[in-house]
Amino acid sequence: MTNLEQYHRILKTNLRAKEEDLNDDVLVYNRFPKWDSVTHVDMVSDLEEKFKITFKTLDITSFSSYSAGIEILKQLGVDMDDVSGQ
Amino acid sequence: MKFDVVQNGVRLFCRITGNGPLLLLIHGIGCDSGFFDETAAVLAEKFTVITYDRRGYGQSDRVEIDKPLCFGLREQVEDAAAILRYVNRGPALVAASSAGALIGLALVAEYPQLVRLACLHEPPILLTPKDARSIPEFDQWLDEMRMAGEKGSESRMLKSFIWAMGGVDPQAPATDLEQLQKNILYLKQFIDCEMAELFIDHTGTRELSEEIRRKYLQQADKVVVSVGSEDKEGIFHQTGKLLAGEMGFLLVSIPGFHNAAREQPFHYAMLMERLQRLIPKNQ
Repeated sequence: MTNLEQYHRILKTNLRAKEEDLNDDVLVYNRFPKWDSVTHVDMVSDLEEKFKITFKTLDITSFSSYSAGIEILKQLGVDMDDVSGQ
Repeated sequence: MKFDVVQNGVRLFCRITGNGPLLLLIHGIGCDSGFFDETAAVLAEKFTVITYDRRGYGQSDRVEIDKPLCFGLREQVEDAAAILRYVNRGPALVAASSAGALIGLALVAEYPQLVRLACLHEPPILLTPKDARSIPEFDQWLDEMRMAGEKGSESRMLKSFIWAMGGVDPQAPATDLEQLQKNILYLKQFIDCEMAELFIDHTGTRELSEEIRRKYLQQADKVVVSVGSEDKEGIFHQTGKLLAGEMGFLLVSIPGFHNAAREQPFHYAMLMERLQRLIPKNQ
């Protein structure tokens, strides 16, 4: 499973989202029904654990949509095509 | 209306709104006076409501001239007292949420002439080692926050905070990402400074001094503890009940959780109205 797929799995599990929800039109903080601040913190924590990274304040608060999460992970050194996050 | 009060060189940002008996609201940790925005708007129909950013929070000063800001209980009580003196409308009903309750309780004990009644919502207060043993989760929470701070893990800090709030309020850490950014800063400040300075004498690590206990007991008829009816297992629901039982404070329950003062504005306002009616006319 690639890191992108791992990312998808974490989003789907925490947000109870479906495959077709995985885009910026749907997955937006405080707009998608389950994406509240508590779930947000849970997702950040799961991503940190999965990819062995640490989100700083700006990372946590910039993670506002599906693609924003991908950008932050890339900035933190996660290669989304790689399979190292398994 | 916004106004500033300068107390010992620290500028405190305050707001006053509404008409009626004076009501001072004191916020807890991980937030600023914005915590009360919605509730203050409801309360303003029946009360003259004062909210303020405690020192180090929101638009109040984060530093003292030439030295780090002190977050001690004494200083924060003086801040609240200074605001009430500045407004100069006689004694107030004081409603304090969570860690703000430490200040509310000490305020009524030190300055009973400024306070008609103090309502403490889910106070995180333990007075004795015996109390601490009966609610070990409190110390566990402080330890967890301390460790999160040492490791620089903001997600762990937030998770620990949410856990202490009962984990059931979706807006417990913040209402939006902008607020979350501020609240992360506030929680770091809590871990770095306020945890030790404000909570000293109230974490149950040693017996409360007889002098302070006597002061609290002398004002027992002026103190009410409220707890959220939906978080009976919550740490601060338990500390609130324990404090009320030990000190003989009136205990009331209102709908909601630890943050009922924010998430239940109408129920909280109703509680304030009821408490207002409890206060003797000559007080």
